[in-house]
Amino acid sequence: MDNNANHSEDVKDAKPDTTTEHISIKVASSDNSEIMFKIKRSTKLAKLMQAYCSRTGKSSGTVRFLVDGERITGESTPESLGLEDGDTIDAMTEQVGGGQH
Amino acid sequence: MQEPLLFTYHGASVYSSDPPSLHEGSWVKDAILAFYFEYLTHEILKGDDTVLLLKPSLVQLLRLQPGDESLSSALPPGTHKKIIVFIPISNGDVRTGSGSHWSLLVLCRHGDTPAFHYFDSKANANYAHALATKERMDQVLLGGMQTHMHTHSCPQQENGFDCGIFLILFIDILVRRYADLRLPVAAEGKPLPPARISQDRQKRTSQDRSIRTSQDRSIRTSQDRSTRTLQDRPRSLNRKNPTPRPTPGAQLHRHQHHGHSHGRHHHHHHHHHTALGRVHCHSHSLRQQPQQQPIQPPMQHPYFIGIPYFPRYLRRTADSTGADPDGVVRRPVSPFIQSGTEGKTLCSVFRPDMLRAPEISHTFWWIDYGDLCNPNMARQMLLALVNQHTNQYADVPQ
Repeated sequence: MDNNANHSEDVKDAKPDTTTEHISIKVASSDNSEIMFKIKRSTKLAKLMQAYCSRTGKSSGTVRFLVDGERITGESTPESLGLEDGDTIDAMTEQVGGGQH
Repeated sequence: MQEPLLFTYHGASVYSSDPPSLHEGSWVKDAILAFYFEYLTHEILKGDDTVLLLKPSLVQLLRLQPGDESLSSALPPGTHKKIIVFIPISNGDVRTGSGSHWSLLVLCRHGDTPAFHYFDSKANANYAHALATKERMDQVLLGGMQTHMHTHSCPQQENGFDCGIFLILFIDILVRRYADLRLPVAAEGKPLPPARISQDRQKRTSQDRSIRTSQDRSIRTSQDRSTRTLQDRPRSLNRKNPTPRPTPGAQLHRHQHHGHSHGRHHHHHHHHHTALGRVHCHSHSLRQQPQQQPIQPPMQHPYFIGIPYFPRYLRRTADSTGADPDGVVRRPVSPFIQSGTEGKTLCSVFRPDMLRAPEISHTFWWIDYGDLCNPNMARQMLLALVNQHTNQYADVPQ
């Protein structure tokens, strides 16, 4: 396994941070690196996904975000998924296959 | 900017870039696999909670992430109780990224010893990855038990792009076969009174092996040349005669039979010295005591590993949807199994001799080379299914 790389980064919301609605969400990727994001409970996770992809230099279509093993869409929010402060989202790489090596 | 979401089916999201991966020559994407797995889970297995099809992303998580505790929590609820777990294997990892090959690993916990079964359409190219995944599963799911991984011979792709399709074909056939085994169907579509069931089941369990052996022998010894020819090509027969297998007369006979003796039943079957008729006959004798609702607990299922699935599986009375024209017997038949020879590229004929040992102990896992349709046809069928769901989803206001 690769070495751990832990980063922390804020997802800048369109609105200013006026409430305590923000929670920290950890995004863990298959190479074992983790990035921490702060996001409002009611913000669509698409925002976090985009932030993660630009942070890691991946194109958005090639990452699958899982919560408890289930893939989530950008339409869902921490609220709708029941995510709590400090919860982890797994970021898996898109897989394809044809049979060539 | 996220690409447009086409639809979400039981948690499997399909985005606009996914369906094109079903086009001829393209590498199939994990999202398509995830969708089809959900489709099988909900459309074919229905309420059967003994089977689990793990989604590719989750397998990647299992494969690549350290720490067993966190992994257990990522597994779907009840994973530890599943009898069959289908595990799509990709060779993608941290270095190779998205990977280049799909193959199939199956955990089977039926019987005394859990074991893994491995199917690879490209000369076991993913063997090492499958083995690593198996060892991981041993830890995460089986409490550190050392299991065996059986490598099965299976249809092989003839190009560098169809492995995802083969993976789907294999899973589709095994899932439907499993569902078929557990589907309550009477010999002639008529359930027995419940009272007889348990008793018959016990009897059958103990006799299962001997019945099987003797029948196997009879297949080989009793067929004359013409029968063999027909038996070798059951599907072409089926195609010429798309109407229900028994002739109209026989069908009448069959209807009459419903309230009558088994003797006449046999008579009916012996009318048909065709491949299917023959198979029909076997299936009948094995199924004199048919099953009954509800779905049987699999641990006691005498059919699970062993030949009896086979006649039943082949005994298709109907079109590819599995609907019986009589409206009596319904069983899942893979749409990827072609009734005609057309579109079939993968190997030749149905070979009864393949049922002999050592395959016989893993008959459930046997995939007939002749069973599968042309991968391109499978691609079209899958694409049609995806499009159908796309349209349905678009019709529903979000």
